[in-house]
Amino acid sequence: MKKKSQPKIKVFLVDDHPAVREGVRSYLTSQGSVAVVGEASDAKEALRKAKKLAPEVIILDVNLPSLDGGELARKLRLTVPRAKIIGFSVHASQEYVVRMARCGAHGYVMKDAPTAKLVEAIQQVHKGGLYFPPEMSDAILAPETKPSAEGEDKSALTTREKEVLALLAEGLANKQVARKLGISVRTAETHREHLSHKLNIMTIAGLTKYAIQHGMTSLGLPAQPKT
Amino acid sequence: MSIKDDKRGKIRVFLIDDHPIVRDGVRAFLTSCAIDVVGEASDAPEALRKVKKIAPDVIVLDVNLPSMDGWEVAERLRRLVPKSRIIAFSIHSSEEYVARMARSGASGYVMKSQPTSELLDAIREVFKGKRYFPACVENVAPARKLKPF
Repeated sequence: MKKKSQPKIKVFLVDDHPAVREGVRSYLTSQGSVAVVGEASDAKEALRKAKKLAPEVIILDVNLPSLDGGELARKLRLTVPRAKIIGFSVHASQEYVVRMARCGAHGYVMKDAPTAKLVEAIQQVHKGGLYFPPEMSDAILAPETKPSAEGEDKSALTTREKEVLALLAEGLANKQVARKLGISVRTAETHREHLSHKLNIMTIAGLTKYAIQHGMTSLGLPAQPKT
Repeated sequence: MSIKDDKRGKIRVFLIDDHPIVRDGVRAFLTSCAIDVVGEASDAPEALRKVKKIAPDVIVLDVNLPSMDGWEVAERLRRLVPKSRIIAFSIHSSEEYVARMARSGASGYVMKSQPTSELLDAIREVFKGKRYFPACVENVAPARKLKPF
């Protein structure tokens, strides 16, 4: 008797870069166990389509231009509570991973990881498990020490963080910020991660808006998109 | 036309990007459009080591590699494989980045947020010897001549 094949896991992709969606789709499609049922390039489209398609797993880019990944994860959890969410990101720092976990993500995969990791993650969360970097499990499970920092006063930022924020808001990339302040790129990235976490703002557009609203940069300079 | 001739007629493209998933996506798309992806690299040293041997027609270069600035990679690639055309493939849309890449020898600039078909158009245009830049920086000065290594 012919063995009945397992139904494919229904996956929905959210990423603003078509090349990334193309890569994920072509890879997942080549794996027999997964079916890509839909895609979106921004938060609005994602929320609209996810409700209609009711996917089992959502691969969510953490750095969408319109809405930060954590916020979108929260909204997706409300819209499609049964769907499992995997944060898909260029950021390896604990702050990003913990934030996504606290916003309801079931897994987190780095974009520079071998693509096979994504399939592992999909299968794991689909089974009801979690898929996070094991070395971050303590931080994920630790109770939150303070309430959401949204709207936190900018005085909570250190002088260096304010300098980094002002330069980012003026359109400088991490490398340029590092050069300008005479610090390493890694240090500049760390400052950025810390200030993003303190302000609860993960996108460069959001940080720029914050900097302008708080008089930390001039309005005349164009903002520059950045992951 | 033999299979060999047909293969030779395809544009030969080399991909440089530190994210495997982006390389997978670009490769899958270009291959489906009869473009020959002849090699890949995930960082600058690997790219510089591989391209000389492969001598691709077009190099698709991620501007944000972890090990080296995009413009520095572009300048080095130009010295190594002066006949290869370089397309910067980037998350940055600012004029400053585009101009910097153009001055460093890129023949084209495509944003990662644009439809993948833009990349195909850019590859075909630069292969024909043309430039492919966003309209806002069309007038940017082309790269200066560089002495080979």
